[in-house]
Amino acid sequence: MTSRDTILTRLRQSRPSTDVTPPLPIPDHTLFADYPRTAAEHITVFADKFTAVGGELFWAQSTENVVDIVRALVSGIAVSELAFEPDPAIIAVLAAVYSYDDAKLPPEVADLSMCNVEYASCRVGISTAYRLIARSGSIVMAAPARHGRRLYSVPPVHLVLARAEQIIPSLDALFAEVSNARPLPSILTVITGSSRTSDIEKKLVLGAHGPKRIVLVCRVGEDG
Amino acid sequence: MNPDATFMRDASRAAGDRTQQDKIRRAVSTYAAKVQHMKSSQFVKWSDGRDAAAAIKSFALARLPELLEQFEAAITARGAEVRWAADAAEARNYVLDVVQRYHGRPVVKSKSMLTEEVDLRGALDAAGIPVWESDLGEFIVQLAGEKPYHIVTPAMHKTAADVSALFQQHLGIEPTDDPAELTAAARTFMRGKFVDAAVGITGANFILADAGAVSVTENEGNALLSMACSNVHIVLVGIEKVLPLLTDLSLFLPLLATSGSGQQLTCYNSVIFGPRQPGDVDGPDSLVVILVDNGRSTLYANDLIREALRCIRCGACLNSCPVYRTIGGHAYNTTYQGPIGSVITPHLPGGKEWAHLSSASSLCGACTASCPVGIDLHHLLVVNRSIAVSRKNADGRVAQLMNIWAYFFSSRRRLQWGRTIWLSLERLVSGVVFRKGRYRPPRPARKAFSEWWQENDIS
Ligand code: SF4
Repeated sequence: MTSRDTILTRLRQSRPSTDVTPPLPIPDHTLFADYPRTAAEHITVFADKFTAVGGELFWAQSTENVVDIVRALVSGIAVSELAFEPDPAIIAVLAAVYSYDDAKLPPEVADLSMCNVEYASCRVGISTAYRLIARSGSIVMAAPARHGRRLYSVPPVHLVLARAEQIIPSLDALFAEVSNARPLPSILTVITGSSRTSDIEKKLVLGAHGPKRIVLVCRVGEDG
Repeated sequence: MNPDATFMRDASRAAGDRTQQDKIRRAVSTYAAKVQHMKSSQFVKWSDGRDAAAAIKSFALARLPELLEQFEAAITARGAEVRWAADAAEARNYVLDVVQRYHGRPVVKSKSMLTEEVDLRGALDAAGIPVWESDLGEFIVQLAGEKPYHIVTPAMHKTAADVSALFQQHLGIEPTDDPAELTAAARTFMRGKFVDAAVGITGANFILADAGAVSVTENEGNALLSMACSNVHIVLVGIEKVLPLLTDLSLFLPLLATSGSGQQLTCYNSVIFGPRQPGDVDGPDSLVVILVDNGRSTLYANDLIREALRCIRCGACLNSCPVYRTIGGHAYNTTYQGPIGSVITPHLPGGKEWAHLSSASSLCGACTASCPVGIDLHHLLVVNRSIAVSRKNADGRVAQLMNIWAYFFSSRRRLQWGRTIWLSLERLVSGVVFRKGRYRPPRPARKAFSEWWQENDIS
């Protein structure tokens, strides 16, 4: 008998005799006191919570706004020191920031299949987000997406470009959505604040192993 | 020395160690304030969240074999390998089997109590495979050659100066007492390991049956880094960690963060659905999930103790326990310390020697009150005590003593005689029998309560 059979047989033989009916799922909004209810609340609650966990938040009204904010954030950093998701909007922003023509970047700078050693020298990772979560101020990353996993775990700064419409109220909405998604992602990461530790004397230190800074440039408004 | 005697020695020593207690007190009071705040600001009623979580976990335990099969089928369909380990040796062998394919390349490990339980690092060390603990607290404990002090904060007993000394010795840093500089030194050192590692080993906080997914919670980003950079991701997880639905995480993630560290959510909650899929630009080529029993099915078979398998290892019961706070983590000498450790250790392999831990409790119930999944911890300690007594009874001595006790206590008149006899013999017996012990039985009152009542004519 394999261990699999042994374990399953033992469990079957000794399971509780009383039959249990599945518990009814309790929706987040009846459980949590800080569940945001309206679209306007989504935005304010997200902003409060995201900054409370150490995120840096910039609102942008237009594409030019985004370019200005990103230019300030990457000043002094060469385009070759970035790891960025080959998303058309991100490429357009970076082309503007680094003054390339026609919203295009030279092909060699957009290679996310570089080896770990090269990746480790990247100074900023730039990506889109899958969703933003208001109640906890979290940014959700899901792969397969063109960004992969290393982009949001290896570089010391993670810069996210997203839109206010991507804000959802709480984790219940996220997992309900993902449960029905086909194909499923290979990984889903809910990021709440920048990497941290308080393992030494309970003192909070940011940037334990993951990014020290998580920066979100969030588009609001109609155009673009 | 047997574990019982060792425990008495180490616990007495630790109970007199003021510096150690100050460290624990400082750590626990920061924690307690944050938890209290998070519970009240976040939940309409914390107890509703706890009851819902307890119900989901009980359901999962009732359906455990089916849920495990469902998990296996779903995650295998996306290319993961699932292995079943009946005991610690089998779990270690599965890991060695995978790791040895990448001879010589380092292994990075994230914090996982299960890997401590099966002594995975010991096995890798013995096979000559370099393995690095990547969680900062575990890394410190690894360098010090010690065992974790606490299931959530393993290096709680180390001061910045202690850490500095270790890092000066092992990493060659300049002396510093600044936690930020020490953390940065560990980050730099560990980066090299992440980049080189062929295999990343993590635990799992939950596995989800419907989606076939593994949920990993952490603050530092070390588990995520190893899942992003390694060729293989190995997950070691106890069979009791299964939840029926992916959507259950919307309750369990905040619950764990709140009880574990007073956060709304832990910094990184990663849900892994499989190895690298078509369209992924990186991620491990293979994902191996090892489902470990190692005594859990024995615990499961015991109707009275089974609910201990609901545990989500948040550490709240340790932090609230007056015994843990007095004697600290090392005196227990077990993988799992504190109330939950005292409850489950006697039922794990080789656990019969650890029944004494169930008596290391005042049964105050602080653990039960703090548990986010409603485990009746202090009553389970009583259950353990009764199991231990009935085991000892097998040799008859305890039974005889208990029979004598019952003889006197079952009749008012005999109790009166007993008291008279005891009073006259007490001095003699105590002097001889208890001479060497530190404890003396309490001396009976000179006058029985009933006599006093009659004399004072109270009615
Ligand atoms: S028994 Fe309860 S309080 Fe203790 S670690 Fe487990 S879940 Fe947390």
